[in-house]
Amino acid sequence: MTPSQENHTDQSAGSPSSITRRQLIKGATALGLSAAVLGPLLAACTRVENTMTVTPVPTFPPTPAATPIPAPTFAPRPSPTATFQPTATPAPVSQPTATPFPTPVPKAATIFEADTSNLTDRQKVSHVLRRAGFGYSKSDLDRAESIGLKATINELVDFESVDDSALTKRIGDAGLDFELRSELRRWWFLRMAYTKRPLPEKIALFWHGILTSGLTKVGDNYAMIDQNNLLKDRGMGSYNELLKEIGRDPAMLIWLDSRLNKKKAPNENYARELMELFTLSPGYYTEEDVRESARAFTGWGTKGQKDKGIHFLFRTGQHDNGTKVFLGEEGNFDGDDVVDIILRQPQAARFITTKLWEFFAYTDPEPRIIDHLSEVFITSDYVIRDVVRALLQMPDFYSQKAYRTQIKSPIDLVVQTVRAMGFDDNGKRFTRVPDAMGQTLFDPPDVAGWPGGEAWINSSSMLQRANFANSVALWMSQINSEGVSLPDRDELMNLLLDGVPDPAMEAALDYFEAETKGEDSFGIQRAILYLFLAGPALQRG
Amino acid sequence: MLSRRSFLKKSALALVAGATIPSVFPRGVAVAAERGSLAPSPRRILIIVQLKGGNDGLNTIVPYTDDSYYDLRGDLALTPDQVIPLNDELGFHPNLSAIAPLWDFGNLAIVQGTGYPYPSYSHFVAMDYWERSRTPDGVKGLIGSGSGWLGKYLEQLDPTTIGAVPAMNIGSKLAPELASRKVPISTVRSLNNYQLQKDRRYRAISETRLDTLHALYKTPNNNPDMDQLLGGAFQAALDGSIAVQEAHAAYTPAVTYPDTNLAEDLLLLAEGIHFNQDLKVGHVAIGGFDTHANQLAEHGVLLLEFSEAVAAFWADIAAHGHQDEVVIMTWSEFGRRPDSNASGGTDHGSAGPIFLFGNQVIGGLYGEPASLTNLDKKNLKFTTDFRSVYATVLEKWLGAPADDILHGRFEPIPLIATNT
Repeated sequence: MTPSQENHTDQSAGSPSSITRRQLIKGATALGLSAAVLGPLLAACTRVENTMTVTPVPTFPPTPAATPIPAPTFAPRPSPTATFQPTATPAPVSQPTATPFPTPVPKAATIFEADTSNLTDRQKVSHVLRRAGFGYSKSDLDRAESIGLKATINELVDFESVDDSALTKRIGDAGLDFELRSELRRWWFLRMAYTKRPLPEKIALFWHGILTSGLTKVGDNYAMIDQNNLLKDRGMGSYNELLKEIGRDPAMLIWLDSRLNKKKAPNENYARELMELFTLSPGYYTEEDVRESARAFTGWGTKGQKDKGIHFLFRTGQHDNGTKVFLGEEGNFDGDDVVDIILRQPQAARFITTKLWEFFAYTDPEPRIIDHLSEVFITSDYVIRDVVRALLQMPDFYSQKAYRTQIKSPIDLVVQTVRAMGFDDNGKRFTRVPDAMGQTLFDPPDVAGWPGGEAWINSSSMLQRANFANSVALWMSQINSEGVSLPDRDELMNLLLDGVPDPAMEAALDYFEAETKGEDSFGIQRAILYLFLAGPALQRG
Repeated sequence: MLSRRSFLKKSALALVAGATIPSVFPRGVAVAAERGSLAPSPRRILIIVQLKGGNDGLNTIVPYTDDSYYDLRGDLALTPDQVIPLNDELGFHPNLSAIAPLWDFGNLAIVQGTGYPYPSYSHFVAMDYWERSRTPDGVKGLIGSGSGWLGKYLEQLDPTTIGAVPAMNIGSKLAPELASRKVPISTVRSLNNYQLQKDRRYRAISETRLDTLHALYKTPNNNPDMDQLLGGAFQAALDGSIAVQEAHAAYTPAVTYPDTNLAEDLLLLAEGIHFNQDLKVGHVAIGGFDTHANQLAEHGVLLLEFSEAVAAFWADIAAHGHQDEVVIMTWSEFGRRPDSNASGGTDHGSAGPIFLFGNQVIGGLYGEPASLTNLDKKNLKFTTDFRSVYATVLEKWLGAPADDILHGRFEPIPLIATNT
């Protein structure tokens, strides 16, 4: 594993204080003085203490502030019930598509055959665009609704048919300087925000949370760029090939110490994480398997110098050619053999299809879902694209358990907002925003990537999410300049909440508008935009 | 270079503790004996310092006279002239010199060989065991969600008096030990960002906007789980940001803290301890202990950062009169393997030491050191279950029902002076 830099991702490796006793003596001297005045100091502290009570923020009139148990605050609206009220939208237009729509496994019915979702067509396409992409602008969403769910999924999955040359131009015009770490993040941000082929980028983000590496330890921007390209370009392909590639990936060879793995005394870091985090999870292998597979990877190293091009190098002399016993098989295995043997375990398919389902749909999937996806995966010879296609077609993907039930990752929150608001931007002002919310791309907290889900939410990230809304409201005003109106309440409801009535939001806006009657109308519009973006509904996606 | 003794005379700790310089060295246990009658303190705060990545216990508390240690460690071994002796068998890593005075004063208890049956060598599984205080079944690691052991401690307190900021977690994500849906936990990543921005141009609107947002986060919206998660976090953010900002503005540290992340984080806790009467638990972490390679240098740097930050923090809170109110406890998900690898490092191991600091702590060594000759597949066999240490701080320090929180009875260790 790797140094966990959870607290301070910008901490430069190995540069903590060099002060030793000198510093402490200095402190002691300072303290000698304060000891002399300790009495008055403490008295002063006590005085201050008395005034330092937490000032509760005024709460909304109907109920007094009740911490920490949330209480209903707005008068519940009588009308909309728990189910969504479908808006008057035309039925999806089924269009003949260029590519045939393969249904890899006959058993489970697709959403097209058995729609049990209760969602409107607009909700379904918006859901799939959020999960399998990075959201939408108003015109994206309108278009997806008109071409229908099937065609929308096809465009996402069979992305090669979509022209993405505008992105290439935008990246070229961005003036990226890859010597700077922040520019790696801007590079990826621009791709996620402006690509017309969002699924490979989303898959790269998925893999970046699993087959992860971090700049803090890798220390070479170009190695991280190569790894990112690998995850994007090969991430939809064969899992077997991807695993073999990642084992030779220079950033990974550094990140998990493979390059230090020598015949004489194997370093187990990579072999362990390959099974624990990439393919099987604990309980499906023994400590003996870790030791034996570490031997198989001995000699997988790097050549070249930092920032001058680091490449994979197989050091024959460091490789252990002896017989290994691994997961019940015996032979003179190397790293590729280890990958093949791992993928023969039934758990391997279940592991990665569960990860995929949890990333795209929801946590703790029903076993039947994983049964189905594993079968698709094995039948397709471990092609990720086929699993993703299958899962986007499952009725469960559109169930109430899936729809708007995920906490958006910081990246999703920021990129989806940029798309929804239609920012035409070089990305500089957005690049650092996800960091403060707890997701610094190219610098995962540890070898397990980001825990995600509910773990995105804490008091600190909550403040950053609200503060991002404040910035966006301000930036939107600047772009639109004074006098030009921001999107109004109904437009925002239609764009951000799929046009489905949200009683809590409606009540909040009614209250807000009543309370600010007579105030500056631009200020009110700006605040309404803020309330949408900062409110609880948009933290979910 | 100063001798350790003369350094001690000048140290911050000697001044603030107001005690005489110990004439016997080491004398942890002797000091402890005098301590039994200390008055119970009105506030009881537990500060957790997590050493992430698996701290190498053997090079933290070094068995410097044990031949097996030198056989196993080879080039990574610390020599007798390098260590700071605790007794004639064990010594501190030299970079722990800043906390050596705490040992001398009997304010540091070291529980040796802590671990649990069927140890996991996975960081994440092992951390999960420690964080949620679970019993591994020896077959399969079970990482799950749910409250952490300190979250459970907070949950059993009276919710009407728990206050707005009962726990401060310094870092970018919530420490799983503290995870709780029912109790507000303030997670502070950096002070500058820990506040809610306003619309400065439209001040009156901005106030109404905040009221509305606050109410919106309290309004149920079809998903009780999410409502509770988001609503609770928003409330904690609102209350916590005000408390933390005001405390920081009003606080003057009594010592100069080292210029390190850990020290900066501990300073935030010192501010909370001083100004926030509700504070029960604080959590900081320092990462990088996963020393598979280049261990001598990297481990040394980390222990230096750790010991200097803790020493400064302790001197500071003592100078502010809180020395009887705080116990500091360290933990790490595992120790490292006794024999070194070929990369100048050590791989994942099992048992390791836990440190407990405090005026109310009876200093000294507790538990048996893990044997270096009787190994379990090359790894140390633990001698004290870590949950006995948890039971100690829960029952003897915080006065909480340890059995309920830990899902079983673990015998506390008599290392807390008060509240027997």
